[in-house]
Amino acid sequence: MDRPKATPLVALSVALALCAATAVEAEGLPAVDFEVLADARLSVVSGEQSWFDDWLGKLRYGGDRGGEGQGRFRLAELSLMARSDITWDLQAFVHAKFDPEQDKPADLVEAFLHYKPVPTSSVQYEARAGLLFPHISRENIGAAWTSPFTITPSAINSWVGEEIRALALEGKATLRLENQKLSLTAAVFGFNDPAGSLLAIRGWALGDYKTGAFSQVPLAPVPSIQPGGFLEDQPLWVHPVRELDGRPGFYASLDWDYAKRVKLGAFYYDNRGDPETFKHNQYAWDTRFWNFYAEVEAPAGIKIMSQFMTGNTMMGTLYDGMRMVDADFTAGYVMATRKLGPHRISLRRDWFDVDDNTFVSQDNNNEVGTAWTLAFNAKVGKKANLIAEFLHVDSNRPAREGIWRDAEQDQTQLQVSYRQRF
Amino acid sequence: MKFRMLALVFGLMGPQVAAADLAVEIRDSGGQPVPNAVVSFAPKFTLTQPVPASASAEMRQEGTMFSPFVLPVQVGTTVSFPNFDEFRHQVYSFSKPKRFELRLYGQDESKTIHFENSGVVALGCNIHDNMLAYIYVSEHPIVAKTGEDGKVLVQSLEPGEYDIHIWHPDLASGADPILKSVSVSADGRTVSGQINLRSIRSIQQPPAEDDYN
Ligand SMILES: [Cu+2]
Repeated sequence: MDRPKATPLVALSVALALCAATAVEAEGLPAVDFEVLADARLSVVSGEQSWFDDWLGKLRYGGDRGGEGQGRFRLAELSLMARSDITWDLQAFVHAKFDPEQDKPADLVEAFLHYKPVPTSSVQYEARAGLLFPHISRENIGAAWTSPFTITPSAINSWVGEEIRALALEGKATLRLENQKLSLTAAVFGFNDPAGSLLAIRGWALGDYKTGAFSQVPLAPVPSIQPGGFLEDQPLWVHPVRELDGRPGFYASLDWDYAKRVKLGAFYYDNRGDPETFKHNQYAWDTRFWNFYAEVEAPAGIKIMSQFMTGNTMMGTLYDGMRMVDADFTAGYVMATRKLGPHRISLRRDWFDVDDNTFVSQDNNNEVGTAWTLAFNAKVGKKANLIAEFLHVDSNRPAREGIWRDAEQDQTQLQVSYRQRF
Repeated sequence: MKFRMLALVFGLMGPQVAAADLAVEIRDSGGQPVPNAVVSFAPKFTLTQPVPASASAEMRQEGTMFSPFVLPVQVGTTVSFPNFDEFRHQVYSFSKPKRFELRLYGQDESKTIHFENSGVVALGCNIHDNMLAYIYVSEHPIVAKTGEDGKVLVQSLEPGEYDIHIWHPDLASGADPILKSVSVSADGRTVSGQINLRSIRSIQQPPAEDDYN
């Protein structure tokens, strides 16, 4: 496939690897440290086909075309992470991944440099540059951007894994006071113009798949994006990590930590996409959103975590002052989690919603849904975890009627994941 | 150093000076024992025998933690920072009495820092956010630290009157508490002090098991 715009990313990752390999010896620092994460997954799921099978199912795995439940045993992920200390203050990080859903044999998840000199006052400065996840997810804090709480992240962070990635230059200042920490982060970025496509055309989903920088993800053949449809130029796939309009976007966040007991934060993202740019078979989407979070250490060892995201995405030309696609999206979750010795149990409630503001009769992107997730993460070895998860999702998406299904669908999924790190 | 050794020898040999043991007990306003409280003794008279300085002090890096959490030393002490972990630590302080950065590559590496100014030196590690410790550099000739029971036994004190200064990482703001004019007689005694601590304590947490970035 022809991907001229991807070259800077390749160049960047190669440069990172080279820096890492050469600059290291001089300082006597350890050379490159490698870490591997393998995830073997047993899943049993009812209901519609997954969106990965060109359908509108909400989960990573789904039933068959007739809606019959399916059981599977697969390698869900094989991630390779490399860290290298170029100097005492500068670290290179590369995360590459294989999984069966990915359309490349191996792809890059992140590749960036992290500069963090020792603080000389109560304000510490640091910077990251490269392909990276903005710090939106409060769940994906484990190795290889996994969640230690559940197998499947919330709808919000599932989407972050699917469509949000930035080739960014990010600066951060952290003020440390007695028992308090206040951080301000700001970044300019590119290569995320198609972000928003999945939320509008597919809607929200719940899955632990993270899209590689060079990979495409599929879209269901709903009538609006079929030949003769309202958005017929939109192919049946999205390549989220692309620069199309040459306009940089930005994000910024403010985070507050009080004695590690209360954490609050607000994050704003605007890819400043030009909704009328169409290049390499992809639209630039003008996507803007807020993400807020709160984490509280509650009594009895329980931690309450919550995120709320609200935003809008627009694409296409103006007709009568209306964009071809103009959709508001909102999602939230509340999770209660508790450690049980070395193990952990988590219960989460998800809500998600898309409000289509234009041309609903030709292209209905409305959606509303909820989900319950219960997971038990057992530490079974020094670097091994066995996680069992129950997930039930209910959603109403009128676009399903365009592919001869009821708008209202629900799915129940049981998964067991064996995560081993090396 | 030689002088100190000599002094130590004299101190041990000098039977003419009576020495006393003093037990100090520190509790918080709720009556709970306070561990990791530093007690330093300012004599209100001229010591006839110089007090031997502790030969060395150590702040270890072990299991992604500093140990001890609070280290009391006298002005002029050289503290070594041995690394018992297989990975590196980047220890720093930007506290007024001593600003420094120490790069400890790997296991068994040790570096030293000389503390010539009195005050509180908060330590951090630039690589491991959870690591936290304090070095309390005292201008007084005698320093000690309470154990888990909030008590410490200070031995071989020269009888006389002392001001006992108390410091703790979680002291509520205000002047450091002092037990004024405690008289120490040859038969020894126990003193207790009460201090006000902040409700939120600064603790050094163990490292998080999962750390992505
Ligand atoms: Cu460290």
